[in-house]
Amino acid sequence: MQQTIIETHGLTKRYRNGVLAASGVSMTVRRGEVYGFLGPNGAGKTTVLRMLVGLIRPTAGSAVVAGHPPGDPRGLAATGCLVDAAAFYPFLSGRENLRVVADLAGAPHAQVDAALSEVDLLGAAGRRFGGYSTGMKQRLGVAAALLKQPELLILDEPTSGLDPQGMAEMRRLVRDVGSRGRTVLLSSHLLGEVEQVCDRVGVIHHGQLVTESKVADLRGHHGMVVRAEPQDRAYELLARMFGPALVSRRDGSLSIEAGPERMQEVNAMLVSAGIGVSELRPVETSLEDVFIQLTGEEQGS
Amino acid sequence: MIASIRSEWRKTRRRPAFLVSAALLPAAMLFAYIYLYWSYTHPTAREAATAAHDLAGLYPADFTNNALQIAFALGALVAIVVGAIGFGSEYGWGTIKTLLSQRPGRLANLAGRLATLGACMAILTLAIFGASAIGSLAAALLQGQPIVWPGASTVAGAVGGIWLIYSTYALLGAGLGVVFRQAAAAVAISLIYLVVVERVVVQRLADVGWPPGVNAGKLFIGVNATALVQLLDTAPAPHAPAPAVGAGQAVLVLSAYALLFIVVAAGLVWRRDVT
Repeated sequence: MQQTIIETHGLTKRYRNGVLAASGVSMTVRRGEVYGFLGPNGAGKTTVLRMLVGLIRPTAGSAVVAGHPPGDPRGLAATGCLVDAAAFYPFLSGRENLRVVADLAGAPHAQVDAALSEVDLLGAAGRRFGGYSTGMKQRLGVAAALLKQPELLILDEPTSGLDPQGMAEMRRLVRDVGSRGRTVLLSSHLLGEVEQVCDRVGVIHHGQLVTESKVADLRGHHGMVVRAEPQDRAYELLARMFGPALVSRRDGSLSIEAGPERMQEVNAMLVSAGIGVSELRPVETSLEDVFIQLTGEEQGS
Repeated sequence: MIASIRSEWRKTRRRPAFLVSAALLPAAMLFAYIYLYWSYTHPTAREAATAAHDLAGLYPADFTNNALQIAFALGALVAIVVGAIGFGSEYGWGTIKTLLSQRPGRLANLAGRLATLGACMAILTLAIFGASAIGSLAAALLQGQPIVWPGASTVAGAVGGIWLIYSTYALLGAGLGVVFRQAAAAVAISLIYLVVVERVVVQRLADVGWPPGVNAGKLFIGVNATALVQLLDTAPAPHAPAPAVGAGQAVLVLSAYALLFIVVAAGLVWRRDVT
C-alpha cells in the first residue's frame, strides 16, 4: 500500500475571469494522518479541495487521490468529502437524503443510521433537510462523507456555522476518525482547530502552499526560559555557559537563545551549583505567530 | 448508471414538481371528461343536434384520441418544467456537487438522471392515458354503451408518440437547466421558446416565405409534435388542417432534438467546472 494518499504536483487553477485561485500547489498527505489545510479566507483552500475531488479541473499540474486521478470513480469510491457547504434536497428528510447518497456511493442503507448516529442526528433524521439549522446541515454533510466508510475524508471547514459545543463535537469526531486509521484532510482558517486536531499542516496563502510540516515543527522551539534563585548567580553561570549575548533577563526570568535539547545540561549545571530551579521550559512560538510570519495575516482562533 | 438511476428515482418520486405534475395531468384529463360528459348530456339548443355524436366521442374507442388532445395541450409545458426543475435545481441547491463527488463518474451520473427523466415522462404519459381510459369507461357505463377499446397498436402508437413529445420537451428544459445552472431561467427561456419562437417566429417565417423554398416551420419541435399528434388521432375533426409533416419526419426531428439536448447537457456536465 502506498504511503501517501494524496499527492499533488504544481496544482494550479486560473479561472476564466483571470483569478489565480491556486498556484503550483504541491502537497503530500500521508495515509492515516489528520492533515490540516490552513489558510485565511480566500486563500485557495476550497479551490484545491474541489480539484482533489474532481469538481473543477486544474489549469496545470497533477494530483493523485487514493491512487487515482481526481474525479476517477475508483478514487471517489474511497473518498468521503464535504466541500463547500452541505448541499442536500430540502424536500427530503435527512435520512432520505443519505439514502440518495448511499445509492450513488454504493453504500448499504444499513450504514445510513450509523452515520446519522455518529454525528448525533438520529433524532432529527425524519425531519426535512430544509428545516435543519446550519449546524445540523453541516453535520448531515459530514454523515454523508462518512457513509461509505472511506479511506480518505476531505472536510472543508466542517465547523463552519456550528456553535461552540458543536465545534467541539465536530473536532472530537475528526480526531476519532483519524485515530481509527483513516486519513483526514481538514481545511480550516481556525488555528486553534488545526492545532488541536491535526498531525501535519499545510499553510496556503494567495493560492500558494507556503509551508508543509508537522504542527510541532511548525511552531518550533526557540530557546529556553529559566526561573531560578538566586537569579544573578544563575545569570552569571548561564552567561558563562552560552555567552552573554545569548542570555537575557525578561519578566523576572532568564531567557536563553539555545535549543531545548540542552535543557537537561542546564538543569544539572544550575542544581550542582546550588541554585534552585523553579521553572525550565522551552520557548514555543505560537501557531498564530508562525501563521502571521508566513502569511502576514492575523486569524481568529 | 444503475446506482445513479436508483438514487435519482429515490428523490424524484418525492420531488414536488413531479408529484404535482403526476397528479395534475390525469386530474385535468378527468375534469375534461366530466365537463364534456355534463355538456353533452345537458346540451344547449344549438348543441342538441350533435350531442349524441359528441357523446360517443367520449367512449373507450376514442380514449387515445381524447388523451392525445389533452396530453399535448397541457403536457408540453409540464414536461419542460419537470425537466428544468429536475436539472436546474441541482445547481441552485448545490446538490450537483454532492452527486458528482460520489462514486459514479459525471457521465454515468448524467445518464442515470436522463434515464430517470425518461421514466418520469413515461409515468406522466401513462397517467394521462390511464385517466382517459377511466373517464371513457365511466362515460360508456353511465350511458349503457358497449365497451370497445381501440387496438393495441393504436394505443401503443399514441402512448409512444406522447412519450416522445414529452421527453423532447423535458430534455429541452433539462438542457437549459444545465446551460443556465438554475431552474428559473431554464423555465423562462423555455416559455419564451414555446410562445415566441414556436408560435410567432415560425408563423412569421411561413408568412414571409423565408428562407425561400424551405418550410422552416418543419424544423421546429412544435410543428413536428403537432403533426405527430394529428397523425396519431384516429378520428380527426372533418375540416382539420392536414399534418405539416409525415410521421417519419416528425419522429426523426423530435428524436434529433432530444439527442441534441442530451449531447449539449453531456458536453457541459463533462467539461464544465462545478463551483
